[in-house]
Amino acid sequence: MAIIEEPLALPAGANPGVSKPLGVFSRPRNATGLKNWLTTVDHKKIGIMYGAAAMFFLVIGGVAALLIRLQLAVPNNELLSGDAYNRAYTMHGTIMIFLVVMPIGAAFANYLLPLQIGARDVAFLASMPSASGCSWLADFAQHVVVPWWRSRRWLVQLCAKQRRDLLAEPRH
Amino acid sequence: MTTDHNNPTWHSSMRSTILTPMTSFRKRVRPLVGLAVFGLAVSACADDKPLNTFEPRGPGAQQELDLMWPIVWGIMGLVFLIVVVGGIGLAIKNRVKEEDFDPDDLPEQVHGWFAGEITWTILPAIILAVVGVYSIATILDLETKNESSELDVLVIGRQWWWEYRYDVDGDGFFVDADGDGQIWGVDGEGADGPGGVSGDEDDLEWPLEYILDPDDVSTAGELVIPTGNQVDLYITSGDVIHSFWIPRLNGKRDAVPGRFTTWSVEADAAGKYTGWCTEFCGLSHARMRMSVIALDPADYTTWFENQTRPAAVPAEGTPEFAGRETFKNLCMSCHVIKDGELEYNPTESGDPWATTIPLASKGAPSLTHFASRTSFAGAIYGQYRDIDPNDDALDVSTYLNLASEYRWNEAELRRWIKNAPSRKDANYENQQGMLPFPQLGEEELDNLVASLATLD
Amino acid sequence: MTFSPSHGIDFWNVGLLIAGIGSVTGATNLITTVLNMRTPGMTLFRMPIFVWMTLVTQFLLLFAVPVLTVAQILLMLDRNFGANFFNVSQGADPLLWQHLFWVFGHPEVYLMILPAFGIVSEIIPTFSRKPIFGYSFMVFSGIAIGFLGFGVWAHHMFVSGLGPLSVSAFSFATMFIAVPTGVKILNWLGTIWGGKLTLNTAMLFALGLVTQFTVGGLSGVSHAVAPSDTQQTDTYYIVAHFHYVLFGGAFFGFVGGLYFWWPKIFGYKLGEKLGKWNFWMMVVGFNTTFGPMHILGLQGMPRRMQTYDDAMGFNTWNLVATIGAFILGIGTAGARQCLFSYRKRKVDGRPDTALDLGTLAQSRRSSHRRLGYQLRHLPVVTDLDEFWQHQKYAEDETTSSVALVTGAELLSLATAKASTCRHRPTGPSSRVQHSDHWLRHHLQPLVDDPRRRLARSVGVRLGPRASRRPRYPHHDHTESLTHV
Repeated sequence: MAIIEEPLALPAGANPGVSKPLGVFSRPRNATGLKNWLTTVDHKKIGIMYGAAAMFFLVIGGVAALLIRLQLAVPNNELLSGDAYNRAYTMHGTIMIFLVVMPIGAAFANYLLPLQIGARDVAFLASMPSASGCSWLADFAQHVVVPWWRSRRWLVQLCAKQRRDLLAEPRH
Repeated sequence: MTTDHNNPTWHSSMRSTILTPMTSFRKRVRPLVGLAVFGLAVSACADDKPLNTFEPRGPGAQQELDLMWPIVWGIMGLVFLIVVVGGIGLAIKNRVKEEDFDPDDLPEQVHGWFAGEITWTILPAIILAVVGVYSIATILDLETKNESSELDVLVIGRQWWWEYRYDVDGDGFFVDADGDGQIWGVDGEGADGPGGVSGDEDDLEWPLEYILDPDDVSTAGELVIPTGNQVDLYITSGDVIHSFWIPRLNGKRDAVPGRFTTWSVEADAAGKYTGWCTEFCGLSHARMRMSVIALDPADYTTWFENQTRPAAVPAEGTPEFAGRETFKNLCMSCHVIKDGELEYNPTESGDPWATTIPLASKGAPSLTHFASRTSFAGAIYGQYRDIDPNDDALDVSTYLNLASEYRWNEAELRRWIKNAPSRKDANYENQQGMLPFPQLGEEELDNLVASLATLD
Repeated sequence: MTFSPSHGIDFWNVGLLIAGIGSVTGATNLITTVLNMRTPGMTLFRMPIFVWMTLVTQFLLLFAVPVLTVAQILLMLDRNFGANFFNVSQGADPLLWQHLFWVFGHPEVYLMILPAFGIVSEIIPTFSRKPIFGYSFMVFSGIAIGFLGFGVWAHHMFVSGLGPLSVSAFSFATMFIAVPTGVKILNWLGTIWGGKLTLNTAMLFALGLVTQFTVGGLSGVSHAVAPSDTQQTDTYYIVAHFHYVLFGGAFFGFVGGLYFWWPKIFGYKLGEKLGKWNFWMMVVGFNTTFGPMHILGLQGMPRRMQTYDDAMGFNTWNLVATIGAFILGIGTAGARQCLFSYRKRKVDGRPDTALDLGTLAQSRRSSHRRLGYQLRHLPVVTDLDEFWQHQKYAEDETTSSVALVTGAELLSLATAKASTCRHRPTGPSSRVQHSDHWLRHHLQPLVDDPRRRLARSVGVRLGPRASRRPRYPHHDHTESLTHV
């Protein structure tokens, strides 16, 4: 159930002050700070967060793309191993589609769409608290999980290799 | 184009070009830049490109190119000119510079043009429908099988090389794995009549190695076909999805495990035509290459008869014989050499398929006529030093006697056998790619490579 | 499981599942918003194109994402619970995954490009200073793309041996998706036609989308011709194609939207000079990177190749593409100026037409620093181009347009709006009070009756519709200024 605000037909010039909610819940108040950003139900803030996440992942996807191009600059290049190259382009593709282009679309949609049709906010503001917020957090969970897991494996392998090397040739 | 320097017209035109006062430097430079770019494009296209789809050497690739060029790409070029060049021109023409910006100067407020909208909805639809009809005709034509041909080839994609199997005795590519008297087959060999793949589907539930006919000829990397004959291919895979593609002969077709897709190749002239696997298939996908060697029909018959012959057994006491012993100890759990004497005893190997006696090949290339091919390791290295497996430059008239024409590539073979994963990425723990053999000594390697040279 | 035993895939799987849930809830939310929460008078066919395209996109999400979710769940059952949906050795069909993926994957392509189409359909009319050309055709072509997008997935699988009949059907269907796309492109050109263009960064990016997406669309038609596609698929030709569509198309549109709506969202403009550099570096870099890939693909270079050999003759164009990629990388980094120009936060002195058009969004003060909708009244909409018409012109009895407000007045209004639209610290501040004072002092005479006054001064008799003033008191854009 959305909060219904009384559409006030006031004469021009009159200042009605804070509008009166008719529903059970009062409209959430504006606040600042990290907690507010993370728990916000404001479509505009959710839109901005989508955009910021997309811009962040654009850098990662872009670096992966540049690695791919560096590897292919000359024939028989040894810069990336087969495995690293496969990871680079898989990461590039997944990140660019799911973590860059789609979130940017969601950013514009969330921010502008309610404004453009004259809605006060997106539909499920109170009844489904932060549905958009949920989807943003879900996206972000995936944003974090995928690269984290990949880099973790890589790091573990790297450490294991270092350890093997150290064990194999003990320093005198 | 040759230029006649004595031609007075040429001189005068040159002079006028050179001596005209430079009214606008940019106007003069622009065509030069365009020319340079065009020249670069042409020179880059004119290089030798063994995979170039613009130089078809077979009817399939020719048909595919004919469909595109000049009609489809012509129409597309026209649309490109109208929209892109027209759009940029329009933007430049209607541009209002910042200093000229007059907020009162509104253009005419047009909301649309209904007739125009209808036109540019229907016209492209008609054009596309025509293209569509032609394209469907070509699809049907390309899928038509060569009923008159005796020669079909079973193509199996494997991580990361291609296996080609030729039926020798006319009993089909498959054996009756479950012993119910029916076989799985291609092109009418199965129980369900002619055409395509059909037959005892129960057999297909067995691993591919169980149902392949061990008597057939098995080669790797190089598909040898006679010229002027459409060879139907039945393509499948032993592990993951691959794709078979010889760009100059025909388009690509996927190799799907558990399925048999049909496709064909035909070469107009004798020669070597290279190709790549084009469906991502794991770590060494980039090093899964192949080629088609098209021979004159007479040469082809000679080649095929040679392939049906068992491999020669070297005399006892020679280095080659010692190499064969090493092969017996180390390589036979995966590779096959059919010389009539080497028998693989799976019970000793701890092999999960220990009951499979007639192993055709176990995910590794058959080496029976190893030296009759020019490339190994998924057609990325050559066993002859003078033949580059990545290039299509090969005098195919020498193909039947490679050993006497070219130098044996001992160094590369030694490197490969000793430590294959360093030459081609592999997950050998997972049965993908070849194992390293660090335990091999120098002499053993020498003998092994020497014994491989006898396998012509 | 045999072929990639690591748990990376499992995590990828779970991540995509969660994202799928997020996408579907988000789609439900936005669809409900559009269908139920429009302001009075905002009928469906008065909605801006961007809203329409977003609506289509959300429906695509709603129907396509569950297919991916199903595929992901099957995969999860296979990998973690011993099911055999994709296990070929147990008799499963290996193409099942491909089918499921592309039933999702192709609508996915359109749900990336359609919002960008919507953004461009806002930018181009604004800076051509004309309404969008062929509004209803723009809307219906978007809907048609959405519908057709579900019927063409198998064109990703022309070479997997589907059989000639399915290949023919999907080839035909794929060709026809070019028709609504072409309608869109021609309508954008129709909007530019006869317009007076301001080539600022946002407009340049929009035009970049129109031209580069066309290249991608045309190579798309050549993929629809199935026999030729057997040569082109999985080569760099297709890499070039989808980068022209998704980078030269969607991404250029989004960056254009960033420049276009940045003042609306954050209250200050991004630097135009850096913006032009950003654009031209991106155009040059993009075409140098992906243009040669068309040639590489037709010369036989497959995609997903870690390496290639000298003898294959791919050297020249690969080197060119790599150089282009670095130009493109530097160019794209130019869009990051939002990070540092954030510190400047000054409203550009010259009011921009971005602030005086068009859609309702621009006529409203809103900021993420303030919760919810900032106008006290819901606006009432009477026309498609309400917020363009209302400020700029009205139609007299002979339906020819008449300017109602002079440009100079509009400029000063826009300046005033710019200074109040920007976000500012919550609570009263001296600057707000100052601007409020300034507005009252300077704009009050204008607020009186600009339409009547202007119509009188140019000697035009206004039609009943335009002269009925105030039609809606809250429509007077200065109302929001007086009630700061």
